[in-house]
Amino acid sequence: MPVEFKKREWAFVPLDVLPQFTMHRHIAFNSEHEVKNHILSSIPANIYFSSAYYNKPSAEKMEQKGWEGADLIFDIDADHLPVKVKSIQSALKLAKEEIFKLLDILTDDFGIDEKEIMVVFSGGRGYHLHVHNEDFRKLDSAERREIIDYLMINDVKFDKIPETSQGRRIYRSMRELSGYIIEKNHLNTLLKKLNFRGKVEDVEIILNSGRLNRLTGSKSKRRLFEYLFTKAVEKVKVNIDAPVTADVKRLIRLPDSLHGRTGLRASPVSINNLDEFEPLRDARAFGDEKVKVRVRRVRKEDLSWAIDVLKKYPRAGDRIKVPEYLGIFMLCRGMAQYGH
Amino acid sequence: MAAYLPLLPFFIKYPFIKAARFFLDEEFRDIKEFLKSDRTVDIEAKKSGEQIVLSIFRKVEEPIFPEYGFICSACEEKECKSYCPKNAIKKEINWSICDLCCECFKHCPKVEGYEEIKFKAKESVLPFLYSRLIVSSLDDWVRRKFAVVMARRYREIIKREDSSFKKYLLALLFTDFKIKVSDGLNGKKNTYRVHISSYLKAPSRIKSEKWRLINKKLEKGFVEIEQDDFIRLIEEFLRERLVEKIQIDDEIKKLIEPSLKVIEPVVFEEKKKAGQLKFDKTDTSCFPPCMKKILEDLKSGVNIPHTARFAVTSFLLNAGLDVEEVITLFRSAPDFNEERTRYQVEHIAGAKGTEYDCPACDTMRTYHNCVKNCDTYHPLSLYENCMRNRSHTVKSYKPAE
Repeated sequence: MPVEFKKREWAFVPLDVLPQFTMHRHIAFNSEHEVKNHILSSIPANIYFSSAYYNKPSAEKMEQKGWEGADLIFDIDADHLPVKVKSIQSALKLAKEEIFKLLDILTDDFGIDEKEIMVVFSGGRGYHLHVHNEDFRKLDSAERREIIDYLMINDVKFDKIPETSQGRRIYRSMRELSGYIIEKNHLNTLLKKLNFRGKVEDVEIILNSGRLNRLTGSKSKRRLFEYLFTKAVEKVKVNIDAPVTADVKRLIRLPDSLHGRTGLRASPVSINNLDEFEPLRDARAFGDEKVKVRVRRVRKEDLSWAIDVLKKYPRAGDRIKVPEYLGIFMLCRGMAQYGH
Repeated sequence: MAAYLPLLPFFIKYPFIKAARFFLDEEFRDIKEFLKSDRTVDIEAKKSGEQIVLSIFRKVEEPIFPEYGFICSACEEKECKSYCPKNAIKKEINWSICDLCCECFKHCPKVEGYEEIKFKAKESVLPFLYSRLIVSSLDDWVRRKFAVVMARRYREIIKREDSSFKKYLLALLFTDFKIKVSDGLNGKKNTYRVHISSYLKAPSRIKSEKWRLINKKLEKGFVEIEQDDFIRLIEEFLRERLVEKIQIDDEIKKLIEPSLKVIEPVVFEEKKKAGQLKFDKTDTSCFPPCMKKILEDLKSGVNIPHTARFAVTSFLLNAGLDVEEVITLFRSAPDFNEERTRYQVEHIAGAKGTEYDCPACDTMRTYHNCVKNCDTYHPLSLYENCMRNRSHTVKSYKPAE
């Protein structure tokens, strides 16, 4: 159950009218028992709750709810990453890397205790991160956007490396990159590409010394500086879905509920286990028992993670037996029908 | 009993401090008792309250604030310390522990000059309260203006304080505003480590590179700022406090009616002067670059993100287009769906009761919808300025008869 669940708004997408997506919202509960009853009385495809705490969470109009605060939440979704990958498993791997970057900044720079952070596999193509900390609850949307700009390093002017925590990370990344360039003997090629005029040795000395702010002496050197800086920023920035964090009345998937389009559990993951966590294995809600499904259509990038089990990609019209978790997954993605 | 004696000097100069309420509670049963009172002092207080509001509109001079030093720092006995539940009083008061429960002040045995200081404090706190009652009964923009002007005024006053007194004053203020400061007064000289949750109030409203969180040293949740910036931060907290509306019931409204009669014409005149600009036609050449870009993308069939759709819709509605005209613009979008578009545009236009404002520049920037630094803070203000200049230009080019 979410922290202070009585103050949250709940929302449900009913299963029986799918694929039409309707949402029943403005629902509130006073006890765990009520929640359970509601879910059991009509099984939903998706369950959401509000990041916000309200005085009257069931009020129909947002203005009447009496906003009292909201958890700080982050959504990292593979679809919002600059690198586009097709297969679910690589998308989730990239998303996890972003979560690690985010955790680092939240604990080091923002001083948020790991105990106050909940990381949840979204059940789909990413992760959610909830912060339960009184100090951050009251922040309004504009204030949260400052946090977004900080994480995403939006619009920084770079005449030199800033002496800030993010600046330190950028510097480290620039050093790594320049070290790599020198090690791989790419410096000459890169400088040619950047139309560099001057002594290559000078640049090499600066790069080796680590005093990267000296790369501002000439226009040529500046171009190299900007190249390294921009690359470093891309690496350091955390690719969150900004509107989710800025929205102080967001509905977010209930941890431990099922995702209607994958059948996977939106599983909370302890930070210590995050490294080993494999969502497609560890967030299964269904077992290995074989079930019969009829294949309707196949999207290979959605199935590549299960190719070991499938042996080969099925084709539309195939009648196959697969483990229940995979059957449900195919059903939820519209790739199969139940039974033969 | 000489309650709150040491705090009284603060109240005289800074009547917005919350603890001043203890003092009012002692003097009056409730606000109405003060409003009904026809004692000369109270009548005078109401008059001064009126003056404060008038000074906002530059109708009269700013009221003058009397000077009083902080008494506790001179006191060596500190008999009050045994009463402090937080054990925050040693030779000095440790303001980072103090939560302004006022127990020490309630038990302060110093009584000399008490009546006089108390009288002065009352002379300051009551008019201030009264001025807030007045602005709370008028249009929202009056209260906003009041908050901005008064907060700025107090910042200037705080800045001018003697540096040793300033230290105590700031400690009292950050406690009063619940600003989270890491080491209170014990940190480095003249710098303050402010918790990010308090700090963010500033950059989200002050539009300057220097204040942006990304340009700050942020360590373990705290941002270090200089004393002058700390005072600027306090200004934001004060502004926010003063913008809050005091609940005015009919009885109170009736009691302050005579003052409203004095203020209302001034407010009306001000409003007329500002003149709400209405554009009967929209001129796209005055559109800011961000909106032009979104509109171009729309026209060329590029799929634009939701945040950009919202921005352009609210912008166009605010600039005077009607719902139909906006829907027409979306027709070229690759995923155009008339029913859904209509629902959303109408929603933004206020069909559901809330009319949405166009996002400000920093919001545009965060969502990567800002394309150029126009040296403004809001797309609409750029548009309005451009339109205003245009109408002047048109006038001046009108050929003489």
